[in-house]
Amino acid sequence: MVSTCQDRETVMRFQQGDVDAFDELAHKYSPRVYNLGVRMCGSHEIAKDLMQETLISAFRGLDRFRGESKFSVWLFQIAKRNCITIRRKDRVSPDQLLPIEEFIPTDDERQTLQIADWRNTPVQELLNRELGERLEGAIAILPPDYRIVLLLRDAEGFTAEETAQILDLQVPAVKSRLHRARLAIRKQLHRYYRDGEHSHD
Amino acid sequence: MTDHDTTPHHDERSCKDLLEWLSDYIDGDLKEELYEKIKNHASHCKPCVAFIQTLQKTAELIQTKPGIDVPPEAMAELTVSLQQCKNEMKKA
Repeated sequence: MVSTCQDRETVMRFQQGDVDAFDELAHKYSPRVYNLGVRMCGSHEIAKDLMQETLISAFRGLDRFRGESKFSVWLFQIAKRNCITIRRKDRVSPDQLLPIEEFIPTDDERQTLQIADWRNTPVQELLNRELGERLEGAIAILPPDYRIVLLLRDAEGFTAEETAQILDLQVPAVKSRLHRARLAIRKQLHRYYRDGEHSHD
Repeated sequence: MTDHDTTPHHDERSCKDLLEWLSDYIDGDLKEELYEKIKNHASHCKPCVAFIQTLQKTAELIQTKPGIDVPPEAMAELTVSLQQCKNEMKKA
């Protein structure tokens, strides 16, 4: 991947004494860390702190980074640790489980599934502001252990293996949580379209 | 279910049994045997096809949705902090 090679090269320049090279990494990754912060901690203020602390820690630790993983994986490991610290401080509710049985479609849902026209509508046509807010709302109510996997896999585009590395989990656990998180979001979106809550424009 | 195939091969329990694997199915991350099993099931189970399509659309929506913009003042604060770090490093 081009970006991975670029990152490696930028890290090397930094480690050879060009400290300004870090600006390229900060410019590229700070919005991604900020987004993770907003969605995991639910506050722009906390996300700002998370971004700041993560990028500063990365700057200070980059000399010791040996490239065993991608820079982005290493950076998100730092972000995850900071995120856990913040969530502990805030005493967020204990993690819940999402059993697969919750997502078995009822007969009623199976009937309405086939008239769900959103399944065949291009994503760009569906993604208006209203749906965007609906999606953010559905992501926000996911239990944190599932939410972070969904964000790293689907929003940030990390592979299952990279996500497992960031979260210190086994790959099957990542896959299982991603699936349940997607099922939970799908359920919300199905209700939204089935009940005609979306505006028809 | 009127939309189900009524051949003796069709088992409604399969819908539930296969539910666990649908993300791996849409991500193309299944062993061939299980992939073919789901594909075969979907070929005669319209509700499952619709379910898979809506699950796939859900993943696509999350993957495509634009991120939240970082407020300019947050970026400015980060730039100042990084500059301090650089100055400390240069002094050391």
